[in-house]
Amino acid sequence: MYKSLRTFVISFMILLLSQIQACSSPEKIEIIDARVRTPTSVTKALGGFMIVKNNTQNLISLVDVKAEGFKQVMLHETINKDGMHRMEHREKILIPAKGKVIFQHGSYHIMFMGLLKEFKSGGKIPVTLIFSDGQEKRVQFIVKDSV
Amino acid sequence: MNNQANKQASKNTLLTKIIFAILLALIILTLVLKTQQTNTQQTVIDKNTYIEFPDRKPLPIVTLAQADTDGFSTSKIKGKWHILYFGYTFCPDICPLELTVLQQMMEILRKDIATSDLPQILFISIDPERDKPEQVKKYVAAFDSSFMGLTGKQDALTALASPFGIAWMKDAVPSTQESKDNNFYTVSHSTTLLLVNPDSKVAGMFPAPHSAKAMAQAYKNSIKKEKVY
Repeated sequence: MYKSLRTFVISFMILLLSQIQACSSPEKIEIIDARVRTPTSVTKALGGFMIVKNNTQNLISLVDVKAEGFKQVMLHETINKDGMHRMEHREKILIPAKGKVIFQHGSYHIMFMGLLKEFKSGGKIPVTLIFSDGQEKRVQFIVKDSV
Repeated sequence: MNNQANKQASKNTLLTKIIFAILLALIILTLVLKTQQTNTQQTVIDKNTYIEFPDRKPLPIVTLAQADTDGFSTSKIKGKWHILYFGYTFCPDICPLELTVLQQMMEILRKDIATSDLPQILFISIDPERDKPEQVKKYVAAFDSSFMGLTGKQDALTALASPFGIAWMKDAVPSTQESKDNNFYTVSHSTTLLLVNPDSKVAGMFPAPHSAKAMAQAYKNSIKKEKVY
């Protein structure tokens, strides 16, 4: 009786642990610290920064981005060549398997153009990131005074 | 027996002395190496932060556009130190970053030096097609109320900046319909900052990338040096 009870408890614990692990296993794509700088009253374009983490074993590309409140949103990269900074539109940004890409000043960023409403410090901008495997990830970009 | 004990004691004293000398030498060597390393790091920071121009060319005199005025002659850029930055307000990445760094540098300088020695920051828009003087004024004031915003005709801007290797180029409007409809182009541009002395001579430049702390230090060194001349 005692033995079967012990077996039952152990089995239950194993099952519980496996469930906890399943719940805490990271998402396929994780977005960390998504943010934009608080725009001035005359700002016409904003740079969106974040870290995109790919927790899968496969290479995934970020292929598109959508957000309301702007006339146009694009994926951009700032290139520094011989002291000249140039911005280029990117059709896709590769996120390596089990790797990450940092969107930051002087590198990749989301280019939000033509602000259609006021964005205040502390506010949130809902953004949809579209990946090559078909998944669409909804992310809140935080409006911050310092990015 | 006693003699042997004395010899042993003398040996031990010698050994202690040798160990002590080695330890002392090691401590001195470590200290020397550490000092040298610190000096080297300081030199590297200065070299990358500020480049002094040996020829000190005068700042070209051109007329720019300023909000609420009929024009701004660059002949007014004298009597105090000025830092010039050429950018544009549609820039989402580099220009806001540069203006933030300049604001942080000003915060450091306001604590460290006399108000009369503080530089005047001039943000000069190289995109006059879209940046009107009023807009540039409002844009820079959001970063620091002391910053001045200017723009001007392309020929005046080029005459002012090109002798110092500062260039820009309007990029093609992306082929998407929204970009075409809204004239959403970007401008490739240098991010070098020019330092102009109170005699209206271009004393040097701060090449990118910029750090507020390193720039504040280089600025303080520079004005101190100028006072000695």
